[in-house]
Amino acid sequence: MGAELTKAAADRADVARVRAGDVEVFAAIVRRWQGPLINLAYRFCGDRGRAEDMAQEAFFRAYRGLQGYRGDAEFSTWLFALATNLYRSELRRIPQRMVALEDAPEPRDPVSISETHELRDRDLAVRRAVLALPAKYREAMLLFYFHEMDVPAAAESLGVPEGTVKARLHRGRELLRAKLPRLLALTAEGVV
Amino acid sequence: MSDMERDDELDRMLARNFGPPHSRAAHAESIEPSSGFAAGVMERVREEAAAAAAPGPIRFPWRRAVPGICMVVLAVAVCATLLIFASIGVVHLASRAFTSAAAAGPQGTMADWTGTAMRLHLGWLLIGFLIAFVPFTLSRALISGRQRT
Repeated sequence: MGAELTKAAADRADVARVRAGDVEVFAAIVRRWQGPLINLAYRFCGDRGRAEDMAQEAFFRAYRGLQGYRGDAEFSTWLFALATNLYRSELRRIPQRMVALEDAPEPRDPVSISETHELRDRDLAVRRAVLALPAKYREAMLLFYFHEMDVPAAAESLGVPEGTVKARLHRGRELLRAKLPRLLALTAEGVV
Repeated sequence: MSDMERDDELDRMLARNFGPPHSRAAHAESIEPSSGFAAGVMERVREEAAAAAAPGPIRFPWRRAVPGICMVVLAVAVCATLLIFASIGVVHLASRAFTSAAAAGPQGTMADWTGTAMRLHLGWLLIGFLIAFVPFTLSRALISGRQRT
């Protein structure tokens, strides 16, 4: 919490200096948020190179739009909303390579494989299943978990009401439960 | 297994796979920015800042130009009007002069033709054409000579 406050204070100070004309201070903002923004892009597209390109574009647009940032919300909230908007439109423009939800494979029999392989296999299955969800459920889930299960933060990033995010999360979970029943059962029983 | 248990398990799995990179729950597929990432962003930002700081194109000085443009338009209109009236007058005079010269028949002398030409001021017209032609050819010769060098 303290770290978050420090980041927010540093953001406010840096934004004020950049807006006053000190362009080089923007580097501090980039260094502070490059990890989260690249990782968010990676969770959207699943491609490291493309994630960096999309994050770079997001920072560039943030710089260009900085004069329009009114300071009503935290800078990070504004930055994530801008980045999310960009990532969504980029993926609409050039969609990621995806499998259909029905074709996303469940993991192989976990008992017959070593634990490490099984864990990797299971994670891969979960990621594929989420990425194969329809866009509105996928985006809600990605942002909800990326913001550490914070519905208001996910709603702000998506620019939709909190109730809409909750409804999309509920429907997304239903689809995932239907897709991954065996995996969930095995995990809960402690097989994995 | 209850729905709540399954939801909890699903939450754990999703948080591990899609949580933020710094989260304790997230372990899967977190990536580090490449070494040149921040430098790449700042390069674009500096270019943008430089472009924004550069002065914009100079606006055309309409306030100063308008009187000049009006004068030019007026002059062109006056010249065109004079030219039209002059042409009509010349054609009219010429038709009358040549008609009377032709009426004199084959015995019409060279003096008649010369008199007609004098009345039409053809000599002055010829001198005017020559005066216009000399600077025209001279400027063309100078330009072509400069292009060769």
